[in-house]
Amino acid sequence: MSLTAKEAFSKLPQKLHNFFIKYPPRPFAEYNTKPSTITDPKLNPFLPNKNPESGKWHSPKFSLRRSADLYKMARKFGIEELLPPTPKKYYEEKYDNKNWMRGVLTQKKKRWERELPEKLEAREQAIATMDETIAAVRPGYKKQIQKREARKKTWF
Amino acid sequence: MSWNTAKKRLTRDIEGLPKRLRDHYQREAIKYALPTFDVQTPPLLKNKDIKSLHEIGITEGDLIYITEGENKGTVTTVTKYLSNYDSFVVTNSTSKRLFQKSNWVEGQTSHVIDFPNFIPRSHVRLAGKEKDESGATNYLVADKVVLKDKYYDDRYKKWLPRRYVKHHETIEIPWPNPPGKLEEGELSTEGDAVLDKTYELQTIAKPPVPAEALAQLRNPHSKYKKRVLSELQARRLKAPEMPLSTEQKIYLAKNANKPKKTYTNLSPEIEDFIGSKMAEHISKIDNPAMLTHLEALSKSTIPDFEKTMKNIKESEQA
Repeated sequence: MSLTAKEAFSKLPQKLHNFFIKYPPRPFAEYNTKPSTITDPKLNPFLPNKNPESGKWHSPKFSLRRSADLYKMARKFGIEELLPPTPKKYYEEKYDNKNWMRGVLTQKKKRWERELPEKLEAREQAIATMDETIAAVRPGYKKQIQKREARKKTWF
Repeated sequence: MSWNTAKKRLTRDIEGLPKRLRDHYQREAIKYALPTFDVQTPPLLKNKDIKSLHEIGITEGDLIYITEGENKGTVTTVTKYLSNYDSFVVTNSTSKRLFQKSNWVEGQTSHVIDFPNFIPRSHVRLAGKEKDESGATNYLVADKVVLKDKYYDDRYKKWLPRRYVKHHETIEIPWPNPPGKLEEGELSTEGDAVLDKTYELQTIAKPPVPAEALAQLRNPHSKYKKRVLSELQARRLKAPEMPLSTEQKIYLAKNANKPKKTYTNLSPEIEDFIGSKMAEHISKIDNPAMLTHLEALSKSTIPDFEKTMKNIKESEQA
């Protein structure tokens, strides 16, 4: 099913149509990504803006809930990019840019669990260098090593 | 647990204590009271210990002999029995007492009044009066009274026991005449006529009072029946208008000069841009349920859209 642009535009919900009348879609109008002043022509209605005269902050023209409503509805029609930048992230973007908790990413574990790999490695190292360690303390042990070497079975 | 019960648990029950301690706590309780205001009332009885007049064997109007206190040895008449104090108020036994103005009774003109003394029951013996053949009156005092048998007393209109002097049970002391017989008034009903039934409701379908008589029984001009509010009532029901602050006034004056915000319709270029984006997206959807959902979404309406359209129409006309 392919629609013409006019037919498709007739399917635009009133909520989005009303919004676009007040705040034209993105390439035709520019919007700030950060809060600015209420006199700024690039004012973003999804963000709080400051009144430079009184120094007071005006809360967003569209609350987080209403902006989420608009975004989700626009996304269903594939026109979410035409809206001004929203302060919230949605769907994949939200999941990908999630600030995970440290404990979720790496578990703390018990102290013995944390130190176990290090301990095993040290143990392996000690077993590998066992002869030298003993020989350093007991000089007579060198002979035992030589004997063992001599008795070693070979393939030939 | 209720607050009453909670309080009772914390109060000191002096009834169960030895007399020495009881006296001590009573003295402590009135330690800071001015002697002129001091009310020497006997301790309050508990509910279960309270007895009626006929149970104690002495009633109002009886002659009594006082055995202790200021009036020791006198014979007087009982005017009142205070059941919760287990004490009597008798004739001719009063003392001057000061009363603060908040405690004055109706018609009182002075702080000082003659207040009846409370005579405890243990200080009182029942007395009887009799005249001998020579005409002289003799008094008889009963140390203890025995209540026996029952008879219907027409003066009291109830069943009462007979009173005898203990150990001398041939001597009966009759109950006195009941005090203060009510006088017959203009509107009083005679005793015989009390139980006569002169009217009986036959049906609840008909109102007991004829409709024509209602106007005489009820007040047709009652202020509660008026359907019109008086000026005062109306003023009370209406909330007052809050005065504006100077800042609010300045803000309103500024906004009054500002032109009304107007909107314009989306240009065909923008409409085409949005439409092409949407068409591109919708063409990729192959789920029929999603398409039905979008169809339904596109038909949803909001009241603000109508207002915006009206604004656009008005700005185009102007």
